[in-house]
Amino acid sequence: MLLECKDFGIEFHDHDRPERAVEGVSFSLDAGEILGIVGESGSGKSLTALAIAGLLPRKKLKKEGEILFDGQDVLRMDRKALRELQGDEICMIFQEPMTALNPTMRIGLQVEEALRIHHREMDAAARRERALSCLADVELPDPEQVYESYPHQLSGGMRQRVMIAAAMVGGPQLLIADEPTTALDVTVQAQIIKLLQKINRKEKVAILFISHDLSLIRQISHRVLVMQNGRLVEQGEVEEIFEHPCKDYTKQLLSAIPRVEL
Amino acid sequence: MKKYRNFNFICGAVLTGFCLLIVLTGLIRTPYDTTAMSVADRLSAPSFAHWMGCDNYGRDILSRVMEGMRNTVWIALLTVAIGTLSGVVIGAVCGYFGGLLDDILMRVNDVLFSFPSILLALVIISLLGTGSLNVTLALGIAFIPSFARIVRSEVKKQSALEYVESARLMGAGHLRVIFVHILPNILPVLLSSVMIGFNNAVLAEAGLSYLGVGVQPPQASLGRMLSEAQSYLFTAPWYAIFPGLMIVLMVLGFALLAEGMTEA
Amino acid sequence: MKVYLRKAISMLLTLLAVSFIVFAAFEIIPGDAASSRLGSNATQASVEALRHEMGLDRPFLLRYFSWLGGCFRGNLGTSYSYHMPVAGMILEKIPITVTLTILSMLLTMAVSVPLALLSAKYANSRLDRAVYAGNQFLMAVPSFFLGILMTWVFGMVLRWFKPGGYVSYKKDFGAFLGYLILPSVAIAIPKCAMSVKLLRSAILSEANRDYVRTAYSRGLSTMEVLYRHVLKNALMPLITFWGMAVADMIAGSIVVEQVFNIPGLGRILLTSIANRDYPVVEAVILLIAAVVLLMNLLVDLLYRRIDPRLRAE
Repeated sequence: MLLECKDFGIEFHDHDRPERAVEGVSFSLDAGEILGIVGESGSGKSLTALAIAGLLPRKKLKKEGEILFDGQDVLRMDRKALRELQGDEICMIFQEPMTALNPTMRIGLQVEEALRIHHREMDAAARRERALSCLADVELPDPEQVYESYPHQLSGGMRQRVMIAAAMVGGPQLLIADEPTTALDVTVQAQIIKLLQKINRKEKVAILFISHDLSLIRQISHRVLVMQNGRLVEQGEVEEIFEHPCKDYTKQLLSAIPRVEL
Repeated sequence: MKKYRNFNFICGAVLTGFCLLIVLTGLIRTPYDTTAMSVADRLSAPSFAHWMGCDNYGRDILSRVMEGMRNTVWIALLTVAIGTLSGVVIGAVCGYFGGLLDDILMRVNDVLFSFPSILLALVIISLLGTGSLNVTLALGIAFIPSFARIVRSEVKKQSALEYVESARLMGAGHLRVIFVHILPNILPVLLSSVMIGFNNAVLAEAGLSYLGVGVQPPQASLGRMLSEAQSYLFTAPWYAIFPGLMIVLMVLGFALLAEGMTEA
Repeated sequence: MKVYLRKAISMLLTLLAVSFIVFAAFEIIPGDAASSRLGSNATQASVEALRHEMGLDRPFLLRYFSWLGGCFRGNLGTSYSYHMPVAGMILEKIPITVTLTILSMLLTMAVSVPLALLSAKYANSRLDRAVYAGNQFLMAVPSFFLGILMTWVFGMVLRWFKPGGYVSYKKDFGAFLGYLILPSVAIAIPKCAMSVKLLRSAILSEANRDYVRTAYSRGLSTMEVLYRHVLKNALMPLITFWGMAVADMIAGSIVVEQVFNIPGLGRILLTSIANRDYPVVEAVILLIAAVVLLMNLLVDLLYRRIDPRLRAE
């Protein structure tokens, strides 16, 4: 078991009254598996993802339960140990590829940044080589040129590929994808999904795929979690959930998918 | 953070109120005649009789500070008025109509804007001559570019909005659209730059008076007091400290007030 | 490359326009140089003779172009009151003001960037609030008053230096630099306070950007994120401010030179204004205008270097 989330919860304390954002979420993720989390906005799915990636703000919120990655609790680890995991074992890609890259830094440097932090033994040439091969792996045409480019010179789809390459550069065990295709065109969406599936097969990386889009979740995931208002509604194998949903909420969600009969 | 903003506002209001009180009191009466000299009191230290001590002619420094502050506030107010009014007209016309006139005026404006205002004022003074009226005029002119620039960009932003279009469609003339429809919407921005402008005017006036081109003796001015005090810095440091301190309090109070108001 | 050429040409044209305006402005004022030099009880004939000697009876445009031509050849005319070539007089003073400005600028940069980083890193902490209060206060202190206070404290109470003991850069460059330290601190402090304030808020607003979260997700520490990612983006608004601060510092040095009794450009400008020595005034203004325009160009270039999005245009 790669990741185990036990009774996880978040309570915000930034206003007068404490506010429960996530409560009692328990699930697990095996190495090499793709787990989908589906839910509407405000369901707590993104917060859960950020918590696993160790990116929750440190102040003004209380974390409950445990999130065990390889047996270590990510929620209570000291920052230095957490940083060792981030970018090396746990990586994350985000919803907005347009703004998730630093506009004033060349793509190549951003892709190989994780290596600079985690693999100090590598020299510049080795890093460059690794970055180029990652850029090629995400099916970017002409990696050399992309390496020298700045973010504004690339399209949204290309930037998301760059983000994936930057995430994969250290050979992580877990890739968290938080709505990675929401901001993209439908055709580009499909390509990114295929790419993520290919990477999952080839690199044996587990993927936590978060989306509000049920059809995407069905296409990519092995197992699914359904979340609502910070709670876990239902979880199970993807076909089981989609064919025989137990809970009313899941049924509602499913009935809202526009079906295109072919 | 909001708590500190309020704190800013309160501190600013207290300081500004304090300075205003001094200025207003000075309008009615000062403890001593501002030009009355007394050989016995030359460079005497602060005491109950003379709260801030006396200067090299034995004149009461507090009385002269009061007069100096009054002069400074007057000059700064007039300066800002000249700068704002001209800036608003130029900026509004350029921003609203655009075109060649805008291009030319803004080109000139940009050069003047990047020119330090105290230097610009010095140049104008060298043309007009010294004295408080000329300093006011010079500083006022020197402040026009910055106001014109702000007003222009705000007016340009506003005139792209739909309400301007609809006002035009309803038959409002250009001037009416500019002054009745657009200007009220840029008042908040204008107000904060007016407040900053006032402070800059106070500082610039003090600088110019220090250089001896501002308010002329026997009229008191804080800047000139500082330059005179410099010769007696060793024997009578208070002569320099009090006028300088009053400049600082005035500027600080107003800056805090402005900060507290804009961020509230 | 083409962009830079266009910018440089436009800068030269603007400078030309400024030179014309300056020359024309001194033309409009009542009473020309000849009569003001001879005083009010000079005879009409002697004024005319002097006008002829000074070339003031030639048409305005002709004089402008001959002056402009002179400027290009490094001949800025002759001072009315010192009867010396203006170029030489100014050239001698330039190193003083330039050194003062450079020192102040370096101080501003060296102090404000680390202070702003600290203040932003520990935002809303006690340190941050202390820095904020200090900034607010120092922004309100005019630099000439700071200079006077420093003269009093360091020169008279502590006796660390001799007030008014200016040493020429030709005689002893080390002592010259030493004497300029306090004046440059006086000039730098208000600018420094402003820079800290600007940079701190720029850093904090940059820190909310998505790319910062990306950087954290790669395992960077807060300091690494600040230095490698945030700082470069946050410096953009500050560069504009610094560009303008250079001009302000030159202007500020005019006043502060007076405080510390430094015979720089400010001194020469002030005496020339007092003596109505227009060739000198014109030359100094033109020089400062050139510096201002050059700074604008430099800021533009720096912007392009830092932000690749501008380079594409």
